[in-house]
Amino acid sequence: MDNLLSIITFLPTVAALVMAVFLRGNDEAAKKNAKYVALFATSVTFLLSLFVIAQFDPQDTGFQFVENRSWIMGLNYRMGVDGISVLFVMLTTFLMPLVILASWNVDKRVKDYMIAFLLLETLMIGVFSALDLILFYLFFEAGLIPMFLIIGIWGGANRVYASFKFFLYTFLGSVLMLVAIIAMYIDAGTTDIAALMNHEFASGPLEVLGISIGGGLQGLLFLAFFASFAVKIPMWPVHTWLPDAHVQAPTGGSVVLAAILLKMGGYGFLRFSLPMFPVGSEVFGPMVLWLSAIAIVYTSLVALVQQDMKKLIAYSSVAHMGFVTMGIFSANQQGVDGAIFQMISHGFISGALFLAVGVIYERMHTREIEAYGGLVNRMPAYALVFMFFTMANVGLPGTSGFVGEFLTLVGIFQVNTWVAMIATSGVIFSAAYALYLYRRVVFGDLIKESLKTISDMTMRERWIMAPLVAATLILGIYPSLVLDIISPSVEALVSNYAAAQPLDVVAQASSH
Amino acid sequence: MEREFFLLLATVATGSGFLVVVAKDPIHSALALVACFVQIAALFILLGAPFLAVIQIFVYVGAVMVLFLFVIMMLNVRQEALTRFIPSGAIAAFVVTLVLAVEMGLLLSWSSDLHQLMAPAAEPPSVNALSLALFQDYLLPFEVASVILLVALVGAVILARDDEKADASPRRALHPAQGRVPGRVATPDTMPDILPDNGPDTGREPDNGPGTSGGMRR
Amino acid sequence: MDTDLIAASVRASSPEIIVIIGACAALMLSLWPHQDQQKYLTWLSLITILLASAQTLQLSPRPVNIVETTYSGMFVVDAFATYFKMLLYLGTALTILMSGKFLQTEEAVKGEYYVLLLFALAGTMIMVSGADLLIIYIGLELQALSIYVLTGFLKTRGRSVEAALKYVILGAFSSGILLYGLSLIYGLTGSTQLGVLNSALATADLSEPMLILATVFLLVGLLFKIGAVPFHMWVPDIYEGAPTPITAYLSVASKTAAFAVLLRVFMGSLIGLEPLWSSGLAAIAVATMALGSLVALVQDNIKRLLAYSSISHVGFLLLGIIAGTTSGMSAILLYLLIYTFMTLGLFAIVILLHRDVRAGEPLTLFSGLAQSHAGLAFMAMIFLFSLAGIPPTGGFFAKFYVLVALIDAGHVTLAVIAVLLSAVAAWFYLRLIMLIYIQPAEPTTGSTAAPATGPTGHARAAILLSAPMRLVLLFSFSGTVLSGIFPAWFLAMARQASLSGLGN
Repeated sequence: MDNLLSIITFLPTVAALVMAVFLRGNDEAAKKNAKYVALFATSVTFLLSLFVIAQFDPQDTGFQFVENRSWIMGLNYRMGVDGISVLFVMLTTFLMPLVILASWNVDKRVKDYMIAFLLLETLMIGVFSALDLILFYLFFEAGLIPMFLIIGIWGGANRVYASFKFFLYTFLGSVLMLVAIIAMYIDAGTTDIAALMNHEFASGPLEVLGISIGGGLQGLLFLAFFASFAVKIPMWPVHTWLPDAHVQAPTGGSVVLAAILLKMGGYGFLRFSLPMFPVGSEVFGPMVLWLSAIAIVYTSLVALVQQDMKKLIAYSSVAHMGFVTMGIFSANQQGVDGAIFQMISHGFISGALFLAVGVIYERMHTREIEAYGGLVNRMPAYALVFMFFTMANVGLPGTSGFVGEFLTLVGIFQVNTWVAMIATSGVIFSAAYALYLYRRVVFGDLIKESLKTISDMTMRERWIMAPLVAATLILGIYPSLVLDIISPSVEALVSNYAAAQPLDVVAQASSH
Repeated sequence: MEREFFLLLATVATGSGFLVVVAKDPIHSALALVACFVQIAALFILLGAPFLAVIQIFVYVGAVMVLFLFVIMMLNVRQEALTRFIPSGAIAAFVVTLVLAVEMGLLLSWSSDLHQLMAPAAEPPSVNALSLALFQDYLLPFEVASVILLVALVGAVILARDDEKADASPRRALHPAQGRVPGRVATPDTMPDILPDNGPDTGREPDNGPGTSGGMRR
Repeated sequence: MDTDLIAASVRASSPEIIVIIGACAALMLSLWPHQDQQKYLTWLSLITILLASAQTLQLSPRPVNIVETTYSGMFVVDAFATYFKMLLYLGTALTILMSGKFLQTEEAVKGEYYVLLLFALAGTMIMVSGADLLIIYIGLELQALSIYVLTGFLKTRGRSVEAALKYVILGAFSSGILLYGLSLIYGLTGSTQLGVLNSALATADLSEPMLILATVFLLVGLLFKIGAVPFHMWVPDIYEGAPTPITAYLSVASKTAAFAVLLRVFMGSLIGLEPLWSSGLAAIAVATMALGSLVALVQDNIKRLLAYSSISHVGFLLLGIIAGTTSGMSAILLYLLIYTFMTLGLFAIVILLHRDVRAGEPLTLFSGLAQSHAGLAFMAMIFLFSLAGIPPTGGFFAKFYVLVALIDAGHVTLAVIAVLLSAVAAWFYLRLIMLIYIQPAEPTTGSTAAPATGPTGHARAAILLSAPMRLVLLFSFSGTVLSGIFPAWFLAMARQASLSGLGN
């Protein structure tokens, strides 16, 4: 099966088309059919993706499962995965069935909802496996459409504002990337990502509007890509769309947003910024590190005072993504390993946390922390699961959260001690807000009248949580499962990165 | 001989031009204008431009003036024409006349210079050359211009035509309209504001006196 | 000119002749009272267009770089003209198809409507084939005159008449400016033929004030026709007042033809004068995009909004001219094709939603569409995303290739401005999508738009998709989607046309 990746990518789209064409009516049966078709499609996609990971050879640092077809003039339809991207594809296919399951109680325009999620899955897998810049951009940008609709149609009270903000922030960032992509195409004559990684973009000093840009063309390209990915991941200070989007999005949307869409930013840094603009990355790396440090501390503090559970988790996501960017731009083996690990693990943990909020939101229809308290009395299973993921979010050893944070901190410590110190303090803050949240929601006496009849997690909810708990635990205990896959590719990435630095820059960097 | 002819023609032209202005009946004015145009055509022949003379007769006398007469007779503008005189217009008319007189005087005083500036063509262009230019070099613009005229005609009909309302049938009641199509063609350019008052039954008004539109229609 | 030459000329212009004959036939048919007159007229017009397009294709030069000039150098048949003619056939045919329903709702079914549309088509065809400033001007007037009348076609509606009057006055004004520039060019070079101008102006002194004046007048006249800032004032009023299919025609076919002229004149003959106009044109392009996008944000009438949207698209198109390369030109050609698809599609939906001209076309017409007509809503969404330039729709590739050409030519700053402004423009398209998908249908929000009485008052009860409307939607939708997924097919055509187009 030499076009396995395409099959995985477009299977959800096919299912969506089938649904759009053949599913008629708006009665209960149609709704049920829509749910089952979506669940079936995403599950099959996941099973197929298992073939990818089974046949994946970690020692080969190049791209595997490569498909190459000519598509438009000078551009090609190229797909493939390497050690960096394969796990993101897996993460996506793994989470999507759970998201569909978690949306089982959606009652408004179920068919459209499922179609939107299926299309979104195609686009997300496409982003992670595209090996052509234009193709990547198409997937990256088109992903805005379903997410925009998911927030806008199935979101909360203030959904219009949130969806607009989401769309325009990301769109504004990515149009700059489009200009950079075109500039790269013109400079290198190709949009093949593999070829572009070997292409050396000019890095001589360059003056733009009287300002000298360090790293020259590479610096400019880096900044343009940075504009897109920094919004996407998101980094302080362009993170403000995320809390709004999370709060307003339906549970499934929040999960996808936090667990997968944010990772596109980090993936973009790894796929484009570091290998293609090493000099630019080196010039602007320190800036990114400091922004990350600010993000970790600032958003952790902001999370501490949130009244809305989803908002709190959203801010915690921003903080965790701070670790990711920090790890990436430390540009050493541990840092980058850690960043990828952190992204994968955050995919499970934040997804689970949003699901956990969804569980009680479905019962009480409020996300106000004030409205809860003492849930442990009536929902022991829920309390346990929530506790587990709270701890994982904090980075308790034994969970996957710990491994990612630890590795990134090790990585950054070799590069910039100050940033490392600040970031470490962020870990403490994260413990503070996470535990504070947990205490207010779960512990205490069950005094609120409205909570007296709340029921514990249903079987369906337990089955959604179970795989996530397992994944978090397994990765926490046996991180090599992930690290073995990513390490060779990361090693190649890091060594290429170091080799691409001009001598004086290297000297400068080592004197830090 | 030429000079005598020139004087004769010029005198008749000026006289008939004067008549255009002072005649009380618009039909008389129009007829006087026809006479004036004919004189001018004759002047063109004297100047050695026979083609221009023919065009003058064709276009002005043959087409434009006939349309004028058409409109005047059909639309009963005589009443309006008689009351159109605006007293306060006298000053404006005087000013315009003065300006024109000054311009003419200046042109006369410069006439020798102008003559040099616009040296007469070695040989006046023949009808042959003109037709070649029109139907060879500029064939396409010529043809397209005729299409433009057709469009203008159609457009004028559409904009000027009264829509049949009353009966709800979607079909257009064409038969009563057929008779008035040719008359309506000319109207929008000249007197669009009169149309609403003078609907389709203009010609049938009994107090129009003899010799009005009824006869012109056919 | 001997008979052979005349025969060759007639053959070269046979598509135009077919269209004019078709128009005359339609004129005669329109005098024949019959129950199904409108249907026959529609068919007659479509068949005329089909015949003309078949003839155009048959005449299309093979190999593509051959340029056949006839009528003493006034009329060319080249791949450039062929491409544009096909585009115009498409635009006009779709306009005709979507007119039927509109005229019925407006109770303005008249045969002359089709006649004038065909005459307008002939005018635009002559514009794109003209190789002489004179014939270009005459073609433009033929087109403009037909559209003036069509704009005021709904005589009982004040807005329509007002729009027609404004259009006549401003159109005549701009034509005058164009003519003035044209006569200055003639005075300076002694010719109006584009081929001759090219060589005559190659050695021209660029500081000659008359030459500058002539260039400016020509440019201004043409910019007026495409509605670029600061000559855009007429666009919103006239778009709003004109019958909706005519608005669609105006924003697509008229603009396409004017762009063809702009390309042929400025990138062909006056390319030698580029220093005179390029920087000014860049400023105009940016201003056009900015004004179009920003003012569109506050519109509450669909047609006005689309007017401003078309203004901002014009700004983007002008960037392709600024790039000044063949790839810039092919980008414009592709853009115009995709623009035709998506704009006509959206206008078709506006017509479907249209109930009564008195109610106007408030944006709220769209609200709740997704609940009542999911299919239409989805198409509208795709058209809107395409207009906003979001992949994987055609609109993205339209913009993409313009940007490629622009950056390739070294205008990176302009490209950055352009993409940022297109992000602004995305806002108001999103607003419409929001209305379609999120706002509940009108009756529940309280009727701000129209009195909900009478048989037409209940908006969403029944939108009957007649066969012609289905055809329009099918064409425009598949065009928009296919050009997004397989842009290569479309780009290849555009590229061929632009490579061969300006051999002179």
